[in-house]
Amino acid sequence: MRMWVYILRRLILLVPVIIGVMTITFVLVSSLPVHERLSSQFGAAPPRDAWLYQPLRPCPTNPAQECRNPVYYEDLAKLGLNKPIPVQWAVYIYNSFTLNWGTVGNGSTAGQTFQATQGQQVSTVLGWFLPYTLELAALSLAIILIIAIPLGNLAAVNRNRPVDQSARILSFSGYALPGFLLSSLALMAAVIAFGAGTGFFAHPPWCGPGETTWQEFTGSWPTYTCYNISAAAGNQGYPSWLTDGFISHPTGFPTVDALIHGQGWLALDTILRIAIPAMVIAFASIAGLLRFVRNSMLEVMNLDFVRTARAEGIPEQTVVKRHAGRNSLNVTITVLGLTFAAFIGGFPIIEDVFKLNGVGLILAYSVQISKGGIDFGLVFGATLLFTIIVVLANIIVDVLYAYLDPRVRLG
Amino acid sequence: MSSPSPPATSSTVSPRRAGRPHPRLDAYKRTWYFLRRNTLALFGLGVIIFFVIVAVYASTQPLPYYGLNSYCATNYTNPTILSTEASSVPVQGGLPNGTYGYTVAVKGYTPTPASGSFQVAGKAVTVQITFHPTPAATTDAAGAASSSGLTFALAHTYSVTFDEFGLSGSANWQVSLNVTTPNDCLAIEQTVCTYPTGSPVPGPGCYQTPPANPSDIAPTLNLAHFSMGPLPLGSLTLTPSTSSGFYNVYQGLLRGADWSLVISTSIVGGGALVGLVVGAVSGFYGGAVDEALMRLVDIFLSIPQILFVIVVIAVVTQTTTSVLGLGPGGSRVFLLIMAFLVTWWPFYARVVRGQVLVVREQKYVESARAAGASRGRIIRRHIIPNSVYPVFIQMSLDVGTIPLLIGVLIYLGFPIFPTPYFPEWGALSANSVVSLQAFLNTCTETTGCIVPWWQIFFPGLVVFMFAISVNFFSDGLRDALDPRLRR
Repeated sequence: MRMWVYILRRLILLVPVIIGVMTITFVLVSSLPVHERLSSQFGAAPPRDAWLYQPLRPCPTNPAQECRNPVYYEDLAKLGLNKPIPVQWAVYIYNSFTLNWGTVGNGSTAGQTFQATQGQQVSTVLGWFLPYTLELAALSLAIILIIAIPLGNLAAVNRNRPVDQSARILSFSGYALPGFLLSSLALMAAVIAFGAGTGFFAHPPWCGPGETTWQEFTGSWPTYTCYNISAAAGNQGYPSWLTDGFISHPTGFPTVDALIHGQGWLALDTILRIAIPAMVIAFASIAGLLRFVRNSMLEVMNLDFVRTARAEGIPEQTVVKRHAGRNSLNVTITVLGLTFAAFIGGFPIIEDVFKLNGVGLILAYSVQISKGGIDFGLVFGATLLFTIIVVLANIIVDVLYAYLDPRVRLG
Repeated sequence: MSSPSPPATSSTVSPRRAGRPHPRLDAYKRTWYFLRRNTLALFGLGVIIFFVIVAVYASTQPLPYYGLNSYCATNYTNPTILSTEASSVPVQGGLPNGTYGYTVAVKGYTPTPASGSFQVAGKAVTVQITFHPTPAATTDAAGAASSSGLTFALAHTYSVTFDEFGLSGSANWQVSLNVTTPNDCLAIEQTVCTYPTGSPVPGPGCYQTPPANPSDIAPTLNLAHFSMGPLPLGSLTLTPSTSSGFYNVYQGLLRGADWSLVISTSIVGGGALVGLVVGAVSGFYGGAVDEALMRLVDIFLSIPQILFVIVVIAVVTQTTTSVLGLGPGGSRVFLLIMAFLVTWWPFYARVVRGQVLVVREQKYVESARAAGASRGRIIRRHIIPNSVYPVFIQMSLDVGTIPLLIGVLIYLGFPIFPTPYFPEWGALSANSVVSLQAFLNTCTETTGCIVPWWQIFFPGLVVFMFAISVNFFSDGLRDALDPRLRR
């Protein structure tokens, strides 16, 4: 089968999957009480008036009787909830495909934490937060790659020897440690180490007394004038191109934007802020890739062409590196693709611990009921976004796999 | 009784007859042989067995199931009488001589005597009153029966002075004693005894408080206390208003063994069962059935797992509080298991389908079909038994991740459990980390920081050991079962 026919076929098969996911979220949305839907879709604070969203309320003239509540029916009509269910479903699917995913609520925890998101379209808000996560994902993936491939090859060559066993113990430890524990400990360690042992109040050597080590390692941006940022008035000490401390202009990527505006030290600072979380992510998720590299290397090492290469007298080093190593990479690359897709979904825990302005952070706030409540618009929007990303990544990986390994038949 | 299908390496299949070993037995022996040579796998197996024994032991203990006993730190030097208040208008010029009755009320304590009388004869009168901690209420927040209170009852004896000029006149005195306990210990909470540095130890199970923070409990670890008394964990103790909400880590981890193992195995077992059926049907029948089921699997696989669990629980708890009449506590746990199940089975369905596609082309399936076996029988007797090994491995891998995932949900602040201190390992470790961050946020340059290391260490260690030993075991199992990987 030709490559483009295969891609086309996969893309067409994608549509029912996405519609299926949307149907499931539609069922969940539909089973929410009306006032929850109104508060999340229209950006209103959660209603305090108990009667506001009830279909019947005491009559103004005679409180003993019940009358139709006009506000309730107006809002039903505004949301289109008075239409038959199939029509509602079709409208929902249409809105989902046109990125009309509702708005962030004023009263929800996420809306109150990030004031600028209140009443904004969910897709727009996710677009603001995505670049931060992309930078973090790219950096952690790079670390994983640098460590996993040589270590996996080493483990496969020295199978069941101490090197293999310790690589296994190390990678499994990262997997088995809860992420919140690991990242909290890493944060504490970094603060203590860079604060020269004096804890949370010493400022790092590259900053003035205004900024503490603790602040230097949490948040995506420094809050004090550590790098001679020309702070615009009313922008909480942030540079003028950084609205509300998280909407970065023009590209949205923190490092790139800082470089565009000629603030090299600030760019370095943004990288420093994602370096430790990236290492934590790498440590926590290296186990899967390491196991894949090791197993595929083990399989390749048993193949005939490796034996032939050895028989020809090629040095073992070259056999492992050039013959076996390169051929075992096919599987690795596909796994990497899927890992990256999963990474784009954000790291709610790690971004919450380090207070990085990624998708994971806004998601962590959107599900919190403590301050205001769950933002259903944001949660369902994120569900749709991550579904689409994962499905697309699957297709890309399949195509890539076929491209890298000519033996694989498309079909 | 006819034979099951042959394992991968045994050459002949003989019907099971009396006196002969089961034909599968050599497969088990072989697996054990390879597993035994893998030190890490054996270590994992040992830890798993230990946790199972702990869970069995815990189920015999009288501990609450839905919410841990919550403790409240009360300093040894308390209650201190700050002021006495009269119940009616003061009498100018002091009390007339005579006998007066009084009652004493202190929140969280039972005074002895609670009421009495004193004689005013021109001078101040001192009455000795002893305060015992009020016994805990019989039910906890989730409605489950709570266990007995603390075994030690710490008595405080205080002198209450009735000054003839300080009190007002009435037939019966209401003496309110305002106490300087660091918090108002609620009635449902049990009280932990603490005492300041330098004071004599008032009794067993009491905790020393550091001089800098009298309302805090010193970060000491006493193994005797760890097993016997409460090791208070889990909340801020730095400021007076937030010194309640401790729980006993030992009780938590003990009861947590029950809940963690039950929740993990029921999610994974249920998911594997559904996945096994769907995957076997899909792989065996093929065609339109396969296509439809696999699209369904695709749909469920592409939904983000954590988000989906949150959404399902949020939506269902918005509409109802009790599922299937299980009560608020039980229905929350049931809901959690069901929500995880919905996202869990597709993995197994895909694994099983891949295996079935290989198995159904084998000669023994063909011969069974030639012998006239029905489709259901072939699936039951031949396809499923030969496709379950990868499922076992996947299951054993997944069991360890459930406490981690639950910890993530709890850390995000999403109330998946009926009470804040639900005894589940993941929940306990997540709560302890949240509490640690609260501790760190209250650090100041003058007082420094108190890092309650034990409250992170023990739950974290248990979650870590569970996940890693399950992983080692399943990794060893995979190596032992996969003929390509072993030597």
